[in-house]
Amino acid sequence: MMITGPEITGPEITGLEITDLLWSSDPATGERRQVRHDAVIARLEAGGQRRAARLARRLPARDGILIADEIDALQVRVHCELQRLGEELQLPRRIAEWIAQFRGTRPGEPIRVVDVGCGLGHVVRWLAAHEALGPDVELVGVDLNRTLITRAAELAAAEALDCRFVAGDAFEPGVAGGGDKTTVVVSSGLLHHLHAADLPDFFAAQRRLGVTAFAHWDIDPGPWTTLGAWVFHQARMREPVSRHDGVLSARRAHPAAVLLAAAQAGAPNYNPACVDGAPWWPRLSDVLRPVTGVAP
Amino acid sequence: MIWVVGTLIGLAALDGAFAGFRSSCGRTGLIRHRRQDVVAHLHGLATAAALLAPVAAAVLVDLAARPARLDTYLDAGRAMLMLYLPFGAIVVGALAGYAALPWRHRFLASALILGPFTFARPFVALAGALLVPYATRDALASSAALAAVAAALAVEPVLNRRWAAASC
Repeated sequence: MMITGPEITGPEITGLEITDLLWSSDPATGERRQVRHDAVIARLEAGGQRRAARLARRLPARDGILIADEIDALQVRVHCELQRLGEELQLPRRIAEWIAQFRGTRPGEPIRVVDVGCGLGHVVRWLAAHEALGPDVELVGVDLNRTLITRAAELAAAEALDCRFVAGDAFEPGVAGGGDKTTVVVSSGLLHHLHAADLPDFFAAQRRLGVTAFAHWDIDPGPWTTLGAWVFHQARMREPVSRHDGVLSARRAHPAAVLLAAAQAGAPNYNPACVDGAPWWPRLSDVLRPVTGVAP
Repeated sequence: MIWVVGTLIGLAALDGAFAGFRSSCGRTGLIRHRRQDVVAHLHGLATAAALLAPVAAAVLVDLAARPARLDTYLDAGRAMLMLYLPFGAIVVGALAGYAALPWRHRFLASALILGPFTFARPFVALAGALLVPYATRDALASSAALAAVAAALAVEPVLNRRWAAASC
């Protein structure tokens, strides 16, 4: 197993989420790499994130290496808490509503829904549990993190849900499924993990893969959202890492203009759309909003 | 007398049940968790009862020895209810709204009331207890109020420890 520091590529992102630094894999083989504890702390300190560095010092480590099993357990706990937030935000229903509207334009056509960066697969499992999209729907969750994918599959099996989970890069050909079916790619809370400069490639990858449509939900940034995220995470979340990362997610979410420009650059023929609310007026019912695109 | 005691017990029971629910939320990752939610409410209720029982017992022992102090304890209860009753009524109203609203607007109840009120709960609980010394000028009643609030606020951490122990 290789040993590495946190793997964040591209330009420096202002404010790193702690969970982004705890897990690393070899891009070629998918093999998990060990992560040095001091490298995580140094990375956070270098960015002036003193509180995050304090939290990182408490992470379980042995001989200077983060203890994989305990980090995995932490990641699962954090994502379980995130799922609870997704439930409160009615996120799966919102995604189901959008896909159902899209599907209405292609009645009777079998469809594949791929959730990129699905974590524990909350959205995919919810869609399966509620049979929200009707018949002839293939539900696939994809994430780079094998631990989360394994747990997602276990949870799906525990509730006998008709969906599947794949560890890997969703945009590699064949990972999420063949190109023979109408495919809708969705995500929730993924885009703010990407640097703005990397967003056009994210959308271009979907165009190259020939997906039929995409809809990626992320936080509509603004002062009200940040305040709400702080209150909610203080009130609801138990893990200090969840509290830190949740508020930071709201702070570093991309405005609609950035997402729209990236989607237009990466997938111009998809007629992308994304709208933010007025920054000084809280959008209580639309804390997360999608950037969408449909192939011509 | 009955409405003061009954309302305090009712609010403590609700608070305990909700603490149990909060403690269980986001633990299992399951989609269908209604049964777990019901069990969590009951655990919260039982834990609140167990933690508040010594305080109730102490007050009852004091009243058995000195029945004339009943009015002091009722004054203490009324003082606490001045804050807890409107707070609890708003929370119950928000829960009713959550249940009644169309799914698209349910988050309003969480964003406007349930989330912020969960955040404010410990401060409101403490403020209610701090009203008792002003209302009664009685050290024992004030101590009982503080102990009751401490017990109520301990329900969620106690259940969290139980969850943590279960996952080890």
